[in-house]
Amino acid sequence: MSDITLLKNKLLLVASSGAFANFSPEQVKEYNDELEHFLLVSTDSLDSIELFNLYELEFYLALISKNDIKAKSVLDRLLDQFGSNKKSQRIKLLQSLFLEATGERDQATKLLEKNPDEMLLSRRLTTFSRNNDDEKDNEDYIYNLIFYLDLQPSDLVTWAELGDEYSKIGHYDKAIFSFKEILLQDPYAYPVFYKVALNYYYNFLQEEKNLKTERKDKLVELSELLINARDNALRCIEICDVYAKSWLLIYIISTHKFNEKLSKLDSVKEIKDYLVTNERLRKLSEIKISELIPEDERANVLAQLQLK
Amino acid sequence: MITPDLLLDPQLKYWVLLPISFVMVFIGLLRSNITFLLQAPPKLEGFKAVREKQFLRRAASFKTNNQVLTEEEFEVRKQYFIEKLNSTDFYAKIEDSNQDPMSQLTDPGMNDALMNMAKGNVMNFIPQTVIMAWVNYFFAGFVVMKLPFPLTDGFKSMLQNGIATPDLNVRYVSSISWYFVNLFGLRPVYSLLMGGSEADALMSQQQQQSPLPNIGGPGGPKVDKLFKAEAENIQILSHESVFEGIAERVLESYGV
Repeated sequence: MSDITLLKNKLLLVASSGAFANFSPEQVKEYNDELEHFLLVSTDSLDSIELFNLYELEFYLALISKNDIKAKSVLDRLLDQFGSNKKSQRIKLLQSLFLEATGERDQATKLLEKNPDEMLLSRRLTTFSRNNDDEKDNEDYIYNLIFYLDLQPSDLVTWAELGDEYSKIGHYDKAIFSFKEILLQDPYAYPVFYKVALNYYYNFLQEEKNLKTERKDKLVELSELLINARDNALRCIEICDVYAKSWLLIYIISTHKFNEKLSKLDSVKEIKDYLVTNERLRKLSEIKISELIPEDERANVLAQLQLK
Repeated sequence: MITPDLLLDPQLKYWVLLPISFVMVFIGLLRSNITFLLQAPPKLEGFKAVREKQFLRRAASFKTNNQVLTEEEFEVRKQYFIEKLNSTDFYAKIEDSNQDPMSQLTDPGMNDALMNMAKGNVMNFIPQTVIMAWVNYFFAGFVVMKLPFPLTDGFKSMLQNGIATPDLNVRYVSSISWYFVNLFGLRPVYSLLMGGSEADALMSQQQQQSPLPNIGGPGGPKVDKLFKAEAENIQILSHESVFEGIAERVLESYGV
């Protein structure tokens, strides 16, 4: 493959994966320059689908770098070349993004609302209700996400978004439900298993904090959350055994001081099994963590997990 | 016995063999361009129809991947799916079961689909029929070429269609057979001439948009039948969780 083809493939992959959303400012600039140069030199060798995707990427990069003059010019170029199809949802989406970025939110909303069949646009409309000022106040956003999911019950990205939003406000059980929906369609998505495990663990911490009595049934109930957290983390490991965060979670669970309280309850079979494997898992996770995470980062990561 | 070679007039090559090939390539290109122009622009599916399909997909993935759930989660979802699949909550439109089956024929959606199918078929058949008639009319019984390699007698019916000479060497090809060879063999030539990769990309994009059966479309299964069948499948589902003995499994895999 020639260098040009490799560069083209790289840019197309960035465009289709949406990886640019997590770019650092330097990366955005680097890609912007690279893409601009590439489009200048080899527009002719691209077919129309590739060209559209790359223009789209250029538009997003311009928006991210707050260069709305350039964004406008890219948008005009897109309309020039592909505007004959007035129905295109993708072009409308870009137009609405531009309007939103330039502060004309009402017009953007109008553009998105026109046709209820245009699901891509409805999805964008849903994000309008996200309240960026206060992270904890996302009731409207959650309501809208649920409404959208009723229309598109197998939209995985939206389920993930809903799970994250629930997790933010401490509704861990609902977050787990949302993440499980993703797993049902993609049963090997190991980062999602980790998220489920983490939410079970947070749920456990929440319940433990509110624990007033040390009655047996309450403790058993709590231990179930912990066991679920551990099992999901283990499933993540089973699929991808270098997922360091999951090993850390297993380590934290197996060394949690709540386990001491449980040791009084070893008449219950599940708890007895749990405690027996716990010690072995602790040793194994210690070994794996020392393999996977450099020593100077370890304390930092651990602190992050336990702070929540 | 060695049969003496049949002497072919070299003019046959210029006046029969090549014209047939050229005409076929030309008409093939013309046809694909006309088909492209006649193609209706892809219609946006109504959000209710999408919802119906997506719900069915969600139910189907529950059926195949329920091992990621715990026992309680499984039971809750199982009840939910059975209830929803047996209700009409997710139907795109509720059809009257007493409806006259003939009234379906006046459904505009149905008509559009039938029209598209008919257009495609017409564009396929008419040019082929015309070329074949043309070859048959002008070049009936022509032997147009001799293959440069030997063949077994089994190829006789394929290569010497339309000429009644049982003893002729199989290497000679008749005009109508040349037409058939072209008909089936020109696809790579078309894709070369029309820039196949983009067309393929477009095609695959269109296919991606509808991975599910065309519910309620012409010839497609009816939504209530599909939902009922799915509900029955879920009803008899047995559940085995991946979390069963997972700690032991992981520990064993590391030999701890």
